[in-house]
Amino acid sequence: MNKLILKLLLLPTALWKRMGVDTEKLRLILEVKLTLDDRRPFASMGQSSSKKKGWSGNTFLQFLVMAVMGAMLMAYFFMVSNSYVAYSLYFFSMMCVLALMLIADLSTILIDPRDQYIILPRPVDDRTFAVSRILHIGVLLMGLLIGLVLPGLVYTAITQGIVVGLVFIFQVFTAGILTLLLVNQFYLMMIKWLSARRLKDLVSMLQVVFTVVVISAYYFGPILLRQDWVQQLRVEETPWLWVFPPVWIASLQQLAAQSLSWLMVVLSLLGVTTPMVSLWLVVRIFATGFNDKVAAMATGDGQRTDTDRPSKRKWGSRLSPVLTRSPLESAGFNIVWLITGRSREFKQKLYPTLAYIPVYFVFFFFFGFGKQDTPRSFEDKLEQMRDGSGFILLFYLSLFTLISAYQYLTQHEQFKAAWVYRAAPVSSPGVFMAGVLKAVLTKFFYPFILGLLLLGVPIAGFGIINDALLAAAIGSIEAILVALFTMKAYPFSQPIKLSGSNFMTTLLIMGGVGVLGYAHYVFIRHELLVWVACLVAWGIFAVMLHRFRKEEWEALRA
Amino acid sequence: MNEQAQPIISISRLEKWYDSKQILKGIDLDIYPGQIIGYIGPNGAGKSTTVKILCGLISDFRGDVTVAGIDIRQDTLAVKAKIGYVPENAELYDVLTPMEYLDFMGKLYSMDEETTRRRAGLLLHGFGLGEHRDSRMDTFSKGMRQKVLLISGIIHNPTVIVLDEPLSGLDANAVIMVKELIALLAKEGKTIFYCSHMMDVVEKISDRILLINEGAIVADGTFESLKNEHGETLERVFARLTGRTDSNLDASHILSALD
Repeated sequence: MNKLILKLLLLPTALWKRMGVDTEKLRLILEVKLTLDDRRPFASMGQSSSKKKGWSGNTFLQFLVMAVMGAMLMAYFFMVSNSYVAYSLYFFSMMCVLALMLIADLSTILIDPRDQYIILPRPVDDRTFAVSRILHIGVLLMGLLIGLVLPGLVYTAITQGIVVGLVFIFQVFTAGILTLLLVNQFYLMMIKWLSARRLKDLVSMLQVVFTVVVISAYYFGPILLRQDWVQQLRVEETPWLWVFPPVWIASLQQLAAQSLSWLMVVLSLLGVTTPMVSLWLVVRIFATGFNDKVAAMATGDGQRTDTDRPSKRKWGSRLSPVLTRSPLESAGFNIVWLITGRSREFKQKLYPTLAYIPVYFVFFFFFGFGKQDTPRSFEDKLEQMRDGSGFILLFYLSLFTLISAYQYLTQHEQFKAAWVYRAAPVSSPGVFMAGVLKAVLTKFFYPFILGLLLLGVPIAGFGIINDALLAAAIGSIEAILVALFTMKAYPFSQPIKLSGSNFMTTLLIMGGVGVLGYAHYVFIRHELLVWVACLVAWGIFAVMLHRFRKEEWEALRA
Repeated sequence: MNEQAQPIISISRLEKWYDSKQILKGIDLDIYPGQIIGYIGPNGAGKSTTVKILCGLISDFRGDVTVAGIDIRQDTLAVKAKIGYVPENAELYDVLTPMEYLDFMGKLYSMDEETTRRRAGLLLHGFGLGEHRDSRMDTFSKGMRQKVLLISGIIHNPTVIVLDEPLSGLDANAVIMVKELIALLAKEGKTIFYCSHMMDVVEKISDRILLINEGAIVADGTFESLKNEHGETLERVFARLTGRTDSNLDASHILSALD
């Protein structure tokens, strides 16, 4: 499909030639880049690349995912009574999705340093190069847009007629261009202030935000939309809404379908003119400042090195001497602690699962367990948390993070650096892996238990302490089991896989823990029993850890 | 050379097969403490395989290999502890700082943290990376990374140092420094096993050159002795013994393709 969009964009050959662009080279560059895109997985989707050609490749999957998202956005049309508000919300969400995808997925194109070595040393003039970059982003943006808005377009055309449908297409383009401008501005600012590495870190953080926003929207969106104040919202009577671009864009449609009022005309005019001004700005900014900055970023000479102050003792190096007993164990602890904190790929994969817990917490607290429609007072909600059962669920939910951490722990972009494990005299891999286990527990499980405990004591009282301790012990046992059954390689020693492995094993272990968790839930009121279980569980953990350290780990491949 | 002493590395009848293909065809070799061995040979001659066997990375070979009197098959870990290995184009986890990386390496060799930190600090300073000891290596140039790798190969004070193309990416000053370092390490009694395609460097630093071709050692001696026997430069010796005497032939073929 992208190739088709490209053909359309290259149709006005005369126009491009008048602008001083070498159209043959432009076509060549774009065709190669689009082929590359089709073979690269999309970051925010986590899709695997496909070897199939054309439509059946990545592009199709991407189109499908976007169409599903677009269909979800249609909820506004059905759930919000006022169509003006509904369309404003629709365009707002659409722009958010586009912006986040542009930031997450297109960042590689926007700041692609390979161009400096592959294209710029060849006889390609600056203008052709600049236009190729704009069009490349344009093609991908269109690809995303078509999938995203198709359900909305069909709905609009059917319910409001062909004319309004055509206006809708115009609105979508307007929103797309506006979003592109905003994202571009974002990059311009960020490149100015941040080093290449920090910028990449920020982009990966935004990808996490994207996931959290989607999860939250899925859970809270429908509930929020049913609220009275949303249903009673009217754009005409709410001046603070007038400053939002999605409202301007939605106004165009109201103008086409309904009455002529001064407010509609002014807002619609803003909607029409803003993208034009934006387009002019985008072209100007792209052609000048942006490329220079990217070029500067690509050369290593002028790059800043971010020095971490040596005086700053980091958490990992403080905890390592306390929690580990030998240099080898400390090596395992430190490598996991440091790389999980810095590897972008690891963070991109793990952090969204970390985000589930706060989202679930808020969800359960405000909307209860499965009784979302029943309005309840704040006291009622507190009461439910007070008996501790809510916390039990959250304690065990934290285990998802642990499982995910293990899943991605063996993978790393620089997996070839793992030659050191084979060259070094690692006498007892079990000791090394014990360090790995301790780092995973300390970093990805205990903080959640501690956080929930600190939150839980004021709400549910001190009775929750033994529950937290028991959950922590069961989680620790689980961590040992998962490591033994699923870790088949040293940390960061395998190439990055797009899909998680050992799913069935993990599921079985999780099932076992689920049973224990349920037993915990049943006996929650028998405080003494919980304390005894606590002691037993920690005892089992200690024995298991001892055995774990002696494990030969024949299966470890470096 | 101290040839009366016990050899530090002893290889006898070393053979290695990959399926039906024989890579090493019975290598016999004694290397003595303090020697700088220049190990050269064309691509695919068996250099890397020899090095990997020597470092304990490949265990299914025929013949005997001992390092410091230890049979490598009997106690691979003890041999690994005595060897400092820097592979060619080795990768490192560049999200770490040099200090963190060297701390990790030191601990894999069971060194205590204090010694590792002290040595790492001094070595980094010596290699001109003192200022960057706490910077992440993802912004480092190839030469800076290579220096960190070299340090990681010697930080545990090994008896034998195996270097595979150690000068790759280093600037002229660093090359001079590494060459001097190699000479000093040899003077300290360390044995250096130096693999490279850079004939001029091998010619200058090695006091014994081993040329491997098609899995067998075809020349073994000082540069002077090889020169007297086979040609004026090491390049000539290499070309003659590995079967390429007329190097202009291939080059002219390439040029004719552009007509």
